[in-house]
Amino acid sequence: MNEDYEIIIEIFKEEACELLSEAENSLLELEKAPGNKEAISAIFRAFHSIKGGGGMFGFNNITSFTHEIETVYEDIRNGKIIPDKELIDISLASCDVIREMIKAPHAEPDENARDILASLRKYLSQEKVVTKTPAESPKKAVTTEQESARMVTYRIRFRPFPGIFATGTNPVLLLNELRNLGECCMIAHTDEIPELDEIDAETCYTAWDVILTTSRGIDAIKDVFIFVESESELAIEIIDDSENPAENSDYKKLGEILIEKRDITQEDLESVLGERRLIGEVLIDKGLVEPACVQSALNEQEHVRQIRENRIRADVISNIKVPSDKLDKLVNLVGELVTVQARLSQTAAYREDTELSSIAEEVERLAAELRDNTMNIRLLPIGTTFSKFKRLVRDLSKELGKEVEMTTDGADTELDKTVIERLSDPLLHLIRNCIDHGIELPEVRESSGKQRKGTINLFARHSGPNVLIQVSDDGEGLDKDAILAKASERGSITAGQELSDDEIYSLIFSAGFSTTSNATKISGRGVGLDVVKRAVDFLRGSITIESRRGAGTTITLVLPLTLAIIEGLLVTIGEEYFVLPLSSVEECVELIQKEVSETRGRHILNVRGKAVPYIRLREQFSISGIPPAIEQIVIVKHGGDQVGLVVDNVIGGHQTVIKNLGWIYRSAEGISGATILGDGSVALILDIPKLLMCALNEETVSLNFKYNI
Amino acid sequence: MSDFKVTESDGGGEIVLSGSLTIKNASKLRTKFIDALMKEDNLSVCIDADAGVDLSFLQLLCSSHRTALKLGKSITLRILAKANFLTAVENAGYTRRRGCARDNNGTCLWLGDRP
Repeated sequence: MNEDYEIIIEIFKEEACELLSEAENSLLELEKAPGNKEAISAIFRAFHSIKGGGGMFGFNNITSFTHEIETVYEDIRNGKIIPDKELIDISLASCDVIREMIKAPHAEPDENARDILASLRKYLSQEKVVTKTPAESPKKAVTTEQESARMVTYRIRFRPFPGIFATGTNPVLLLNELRNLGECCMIAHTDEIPELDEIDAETCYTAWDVILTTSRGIDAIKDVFIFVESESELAIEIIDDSENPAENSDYKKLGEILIEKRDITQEDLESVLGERRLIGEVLIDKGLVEPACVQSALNEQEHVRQIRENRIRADVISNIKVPSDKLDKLVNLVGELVTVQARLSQTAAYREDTELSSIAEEVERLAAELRDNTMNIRLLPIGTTFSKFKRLVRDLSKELGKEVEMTTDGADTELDKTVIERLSDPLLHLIRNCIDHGIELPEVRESSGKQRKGTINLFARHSGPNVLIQVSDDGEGLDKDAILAKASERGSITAGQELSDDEIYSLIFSAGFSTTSNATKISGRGVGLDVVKRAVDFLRGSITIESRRGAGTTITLVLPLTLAIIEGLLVTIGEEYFVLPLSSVEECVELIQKEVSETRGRHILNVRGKAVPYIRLREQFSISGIPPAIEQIVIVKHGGDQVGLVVDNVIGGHQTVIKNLGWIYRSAEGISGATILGDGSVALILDIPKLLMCALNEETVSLNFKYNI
Repeated sequence: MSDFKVTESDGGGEIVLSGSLTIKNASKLRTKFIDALMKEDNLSVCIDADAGVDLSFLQLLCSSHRTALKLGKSITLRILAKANFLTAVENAGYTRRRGCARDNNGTCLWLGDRP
């Protein structure tokens, strides 16, 4: 098997998995509303596409299995079978089977797959026939659905009867109705209008050629003319159909269109073919056709060409797939370019060369644009991640005997693909916790005056350079007393220690922390939320919790839009450069030697009456040399506390393209990456949470909190 | 706006049309155009800002232009509320890139950059 073929198979597998996810979502929709025709069609299409793809690669197991379920959904679509809960269960299980088959396409179907097939066939043999009112007839529904997806371009020639004005009908209003049906261009034929001595001013002499692209079907067009059709001339022809798309945007030649419309004859056309001028002009000049007919044909050509081009472009856009490593390479290259551009700007400034400075500015602008565009390519809507959890919520709540509905808001919020990939696990744990510990059993909810069905809401929105992701439930909320008791038992807090709500809630993210005595297979071992905390730290994000006993809990994750670039604060210690993520920086203050001596060696600073502990990064990183008389303290916020980081100088804001340190430096704690500055020197990017944890462990400072979050 | 009004300019050569230039007054308007073309070699038709037009009026303008061409005269439009008038022309599909076969001097009233 050659490499290209393997790549194509990988693409098929990836697409098939996406289709399965779509089918699962539609199945859940169908479960809620068994008559949801859109969902039925979406499920059918997904299975149909997987079957087709499987067949193309000779994956016979996939083809034959999906054929069965596709047949069931064809019957559902045709109204022969009503989908019930059992069928939804079987269909969801089928998705799991197909997913396994995609992983190992040549493996023999297991017993589970055979059982599901048997259940599906049972359905087919039963064929539960439904009676429906004509208005809801499935045939009509399918037609409507198909119509909605099918864009057809029509050529309409309308010549109203001469006395139309006398009937009170304004033909222009009919044209406006056509315009409302879709994309439309039209031209009036005025050649029948006589001169003033012959004209009957109350007669309609105008006719129209209309080109209309619509998804509404021919009946909708005929409906426009329903009251005038019998007396008028009306011809409607299909000239382009998205269901039978042309391979390219080319359309008929002008002469062909004119002949088709009977504006000229074949002989007329042949008589002008030898001329070295545009056919339309020659035909007009020879009086063989009215200019309006030529313009109408040109309009038709242009309209159809545009429609086809748009369709081809849309197909290309919707189908383009780029391996993610290619994107990563592109981001790296852009990073290099930004670095070179910074060097160029610095050199231009150093040489005081105005021409070079102007070029450097231009390169800077282009590099910034390229960087933003490249970052945008990596952005994906979070909706795909959200929708993955619908199935989880359904299955888990069923398993635990709870009734839970998942709602989502802001599914189209976009963030970096790496962030999305790494977000899946934390969200999974948060949702599992919501269902297991948050949402009460239906009876319990009822007895406390709540609705039987609990709700979990996933919400996402942009907030400056960050994305907020909230997981909320309307369950019983966090039990502060139980958290404090457990923390005390584990020695995470000292007896009598006073903690704010934020601090108490933060305790639940400690490794191994769980207030429940019975670990279920879903949660309770104190692992899940630790995973969440670690993942969010890795993503340079933060977590906050709001909870009200009896009313529910909201966990908010604040994450950067991208991991590739950060807004940083550039500082120096000795000859070394460091970058601190600007999102963590609160303020910068000076550290004067006198203040150090006043605190007798304790690393505590008085900032407007508040004691702020600080870490000397010079000591932390063992940088030799003598610090300046006036040092700078960058105060950062972490987990609700302020900590100062002492540096020699603060240079200023710096947009930083992050480069990985490589595996050799993987164990370097407190450093998340590096960046190359304009002069070619390297600046290390500080990982504030790890740096603080590292400092705590080494007991170089005594922070005023005892727990790690 | 059930009626229309025709005002002849002081120096002649222009008629100002206002009010309802629609099917209700189409026959009367036809007569006015015939009279005006009889008198003027270079007729300017001014459509007042308050004028309302429909397809029958556009047909009359077209007919007047053709008559003028036949008589070796000229007719031009002066529109005081372009947006309204142009909308009516566009909605009726009258806008075009090239005049009809009879428009031998390129004075068609509906060419893209006019009226």
